[in-house]
Amino acid sequence: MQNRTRGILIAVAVVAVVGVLALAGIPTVGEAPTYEIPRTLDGHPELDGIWQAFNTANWDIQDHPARQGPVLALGAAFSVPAGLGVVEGNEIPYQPWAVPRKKENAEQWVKLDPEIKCYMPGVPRATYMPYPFQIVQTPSHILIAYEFAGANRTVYMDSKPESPVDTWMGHSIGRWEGDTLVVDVTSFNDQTWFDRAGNFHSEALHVTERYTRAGPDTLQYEATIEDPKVFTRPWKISMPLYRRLEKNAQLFEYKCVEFVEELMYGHLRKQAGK
Amino acid sequence: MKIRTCAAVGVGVALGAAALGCRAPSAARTAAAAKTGSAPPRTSWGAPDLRGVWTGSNLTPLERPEEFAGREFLTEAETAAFEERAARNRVDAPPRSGDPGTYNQIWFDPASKVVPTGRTSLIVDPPDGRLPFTPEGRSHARRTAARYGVGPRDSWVDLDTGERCLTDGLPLPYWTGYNNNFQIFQTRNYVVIVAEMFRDRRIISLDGRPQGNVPQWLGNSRGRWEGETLVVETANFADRGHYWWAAAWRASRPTLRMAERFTRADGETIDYQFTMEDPAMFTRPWTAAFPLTTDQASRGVTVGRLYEYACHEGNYSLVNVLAGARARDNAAEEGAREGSK
Repeated sequence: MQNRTRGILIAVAVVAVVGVLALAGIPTVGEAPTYEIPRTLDGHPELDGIWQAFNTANWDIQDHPARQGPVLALGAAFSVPAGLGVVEGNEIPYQPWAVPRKKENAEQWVKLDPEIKCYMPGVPRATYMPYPFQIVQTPSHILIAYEFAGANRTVYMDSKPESPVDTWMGHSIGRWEGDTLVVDVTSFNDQTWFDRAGNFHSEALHVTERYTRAGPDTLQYEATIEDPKVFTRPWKISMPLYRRLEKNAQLFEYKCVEFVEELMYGHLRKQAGK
Repeated sequence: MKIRTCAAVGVGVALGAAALGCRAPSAARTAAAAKTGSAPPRTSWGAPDLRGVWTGSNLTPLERPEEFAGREFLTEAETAAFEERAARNRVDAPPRSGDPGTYNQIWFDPASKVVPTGRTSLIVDPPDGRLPFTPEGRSHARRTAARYGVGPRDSWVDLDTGERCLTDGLPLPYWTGYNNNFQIFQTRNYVVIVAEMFRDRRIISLDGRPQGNVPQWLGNSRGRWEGETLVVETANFADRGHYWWAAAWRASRPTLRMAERFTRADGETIDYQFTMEDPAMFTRPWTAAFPLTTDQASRGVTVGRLYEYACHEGNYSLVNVLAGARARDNAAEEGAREGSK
């Protein structure tokens, strides 16, 4: 009898504590945060906003120590910070032939990285470059507008058009799985990289992205990478994305073509005296 | 500096012309809307719905040609002749000897129809349908036109901003030789216009935020709803007037201000107009108007969604133009050396 009373009291106390925690929005063990996901009029999570990754994955998607940058004159300002990788298990399952190619890419980074030439960065790299991107969500089409190189993607939600040709930013078909936006991205060319460390893919790349609201100002981002020409199995990256909270935050232009013309065309300028 | 909107221009200038350019739907379009009964759609939150893939492309020139001086509208016979002449000109002809030529016609996507209003110019104000250039603006436009296809080609900055894959400038949605579809995305807080050409993009905020101080090539656009019309004011244009532009009047200049009005007229039409004001280039503000349509086929241009335009990524043309000019320099130098022997 006494034990039972004590048991009831404990149960009431636990319910009360859990209730208070829930009211305070503090997650309890084994529960997701209890914040209310803002929803669009058609009931899906609202993903609208200006988002940015805050990590060093654009330097190297794998774990990496700090090291000196490639431009002597820029010293500490453009050297490479250490960082945690974003690859699950930290291993990228390259096929044997691809291992030396990745190494060569890394060694020839400044010459070969498409980022340096202001080329569209591809997916998933666009997500974790050190620039914001904006999601503009409508029921039928979701625009993902990236600041870097003014790259855009349209995610088709209620139609599945075919892609007639390979692209830099891929061809994106989206669907909702519960509260997660899942985007199948295909029809890539083989010109983009994953990072400045020379991680690469072929035109057989297939990226499956998952965007899930994790809090009022965070998204959880996951991308599964498949490319049977380059990797032995699918592999996965994941990271949080953060909302740009500055008052009047806005996506600006970064028309970087202007900044690479001397680099790319300088040898074709008229020589004095000719 | 506040830009006078269409209504204000109408008070100050020829009331009839401004009213026609600003409001009056064409008889043909009214008839079409009446026939299909397609009312302007609204978003689920009650705003006029601007979403869709649009083109403004048409054959009508921005400025009124000499032959139509003093006349605002084409007759039916003139319209037919105008469209027929354009179709006739759309054939591949071999370039003159020594001229590498340009794209084959298959690359271009010109409209086959004049603007549905039947106007003789897209410019509705001033009433003469001509750009009100200052002497400096006129000289800049003439020099731009004279260089096109001629050179010099000493450096990439001798080519225009479009040839460099940067942009052809505002207004978007304006059209050029190809890639003339635009997609409008719309939420409560933003209207975003994405152009296929150069993947140019305008993110127009509707939340009343201040203009700010960050110059951009396409300026900084702020929008608001005035009844059924989206009014967009754009300022903070970057200082890029020293570059060559395909159309001098579209160049980014810090002195430029733009006002635009987007009014969804029916199921497949947005009535669009823009007003440009720039005391360095123009003696007065001027306004042009043309409808955008989701019925690309009715204008004879490419139907369908937007595709990725990797202009800079595939800009072999710029490299070849400069390499050709350097080869010519070398040949001239060689020739001079031979001659002096």
